[in-house]
Amino acid sequence: MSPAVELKDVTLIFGGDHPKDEPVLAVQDIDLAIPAGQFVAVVGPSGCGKTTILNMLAGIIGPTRGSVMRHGEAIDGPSDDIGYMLARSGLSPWRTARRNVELGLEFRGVPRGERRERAMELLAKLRLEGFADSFPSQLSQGMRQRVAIARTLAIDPDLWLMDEPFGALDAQTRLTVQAEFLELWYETHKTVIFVTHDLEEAVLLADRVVVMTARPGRIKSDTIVDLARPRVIDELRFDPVFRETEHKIWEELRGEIV
Amino acid sequence: MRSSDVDEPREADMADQARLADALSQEEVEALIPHESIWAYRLRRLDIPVQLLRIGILFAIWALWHYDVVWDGLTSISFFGWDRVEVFGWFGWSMTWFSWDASFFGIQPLPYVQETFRASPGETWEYFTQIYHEKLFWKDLWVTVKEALFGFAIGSILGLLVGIVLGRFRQAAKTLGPFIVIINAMPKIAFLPLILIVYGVGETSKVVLAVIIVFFIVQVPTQAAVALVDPDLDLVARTMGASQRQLFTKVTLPGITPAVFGALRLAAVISVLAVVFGEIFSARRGLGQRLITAANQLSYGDTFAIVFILALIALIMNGIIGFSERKALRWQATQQGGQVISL
Repeated sequence: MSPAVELKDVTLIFGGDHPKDEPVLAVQDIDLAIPAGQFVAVVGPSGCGKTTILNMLAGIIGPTRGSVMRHGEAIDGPSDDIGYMLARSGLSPWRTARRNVELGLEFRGVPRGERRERAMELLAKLRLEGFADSFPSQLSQGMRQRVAIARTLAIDPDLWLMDEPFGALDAQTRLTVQAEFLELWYETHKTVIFVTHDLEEAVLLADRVVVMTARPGRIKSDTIVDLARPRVIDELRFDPVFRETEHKIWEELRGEIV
Repeated sequence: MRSSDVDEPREADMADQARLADALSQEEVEALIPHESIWAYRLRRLDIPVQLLRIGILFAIWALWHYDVVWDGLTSISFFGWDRVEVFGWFGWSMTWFSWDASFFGIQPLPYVQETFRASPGETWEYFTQIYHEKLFWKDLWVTVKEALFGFAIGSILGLLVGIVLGRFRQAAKTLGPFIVIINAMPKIAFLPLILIVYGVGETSKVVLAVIIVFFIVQVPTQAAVALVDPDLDLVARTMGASQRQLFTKVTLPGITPAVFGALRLAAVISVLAVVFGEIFSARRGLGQRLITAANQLSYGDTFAIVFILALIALIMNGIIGFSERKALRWQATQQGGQVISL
């Protein structure tokens, strides 16, 4: 059976608009196969092409060379069974929290009642049921990001692409939101590709951590995180196995950052 | 012995916790902030000092007008520098003042106006009392309102459509852009003589002038707003598999609404302006025609009254748009005045 997500020899070059612009080699020879249900974190220095990989998987851009596949088939455009979450919440300011969560369902033509039910269910899981009728401007940063999680998951995507989703949150809010997110994932066990610059976050959440090099982005190491699930992240942080794994990956990553 | 060793720190912990006060109940919290009565709240919202100041300013304007201050102007016989002269004859008593020559580079900002050309508030008010019985006035009013509404509606719809299309389709914007910029740069009222020849002196020519002017007022900001819709929202919607039509109705259209309403408000006032200008220039009926006739007869009280009526038309149009704006943009109001709850 072919893996849920597969990148084969993927190279992507951003050509400049002007003939004098130097083309930029973003990622090079990426080989990555992810089985269905795996939670993969991608870490690397900023500008190493992590987001580029997500964009290719989301079908927004195509590779210059190589192939990007899902279940053995090449991706040729956006697909509605992918949930893509950005670092900025990207909520529509004119929609209430609930109607923001409903957005993807509206695109699919899900009837109003069903949409509403699904949205309320997700908001309740993220402890936001009391704020269903609030506009994004009335919510705190952490709450907005939780609404964005709910929106991403409302369409019940098969593949979750997360682009530094908790990067803008303060340390304590992040811990809470991470735990909630992990719980939601544990219920469904979908395939996740989680891009982050926070190594601790990567090891706490993921089954597998992929370290990328500085530009051009290549895969430097690929480590399995051997921690049992379900995980209680605020305790796990002090677990020796966790510390050891984080330290080991940090050694790989350090060479790219310094 | 051993057990007490273990227990001691725990007791200390408990003592620490005992010192932590219980959270205040909702009743206690409310008792700390006394509830304002609804009348006190309304009074506070009314903001009496501001209202008094407004009334004061209104009264001052009326007084300056009623006692001919605005007409007497700021004049002086002093040629250069300071001189002891009699300047103002305000409020029925004359006053002696030290003044300098009230002209700047030979231009008097507030010149003396001859008695013949003056109009008092009383004369202006008189017009309002007369028009009630005058059928032709209501006909003129209706003509102007009709022209302004048609000009506003047609111009806004065209401007909105073209703005959206050019904002969305880059190639179209690139191709047509220079022509639109050049036409927009032309002073549109200069086309009026031509419009009058083509469409006649009737109501159509005024509508056409208003349409041309209103079109650009709506088209330019609409096009800019379409191009400026938050790219994050677009990306999110596209990755969730939104069709082109859904992208338009659920991202672009709500995204440009604030800018469009701003443009529509301006367009409402400008459409009245365009129509009146056209009527003053040449028309059979309309308030503009009535205004210029009154001015030609030196009935300046009537002209002032008509100007007030025209302002009222524009204000009502503006008010209707403002009302629908508040309805449509409830989210924006909360963005500006809303309280952020953080948990």
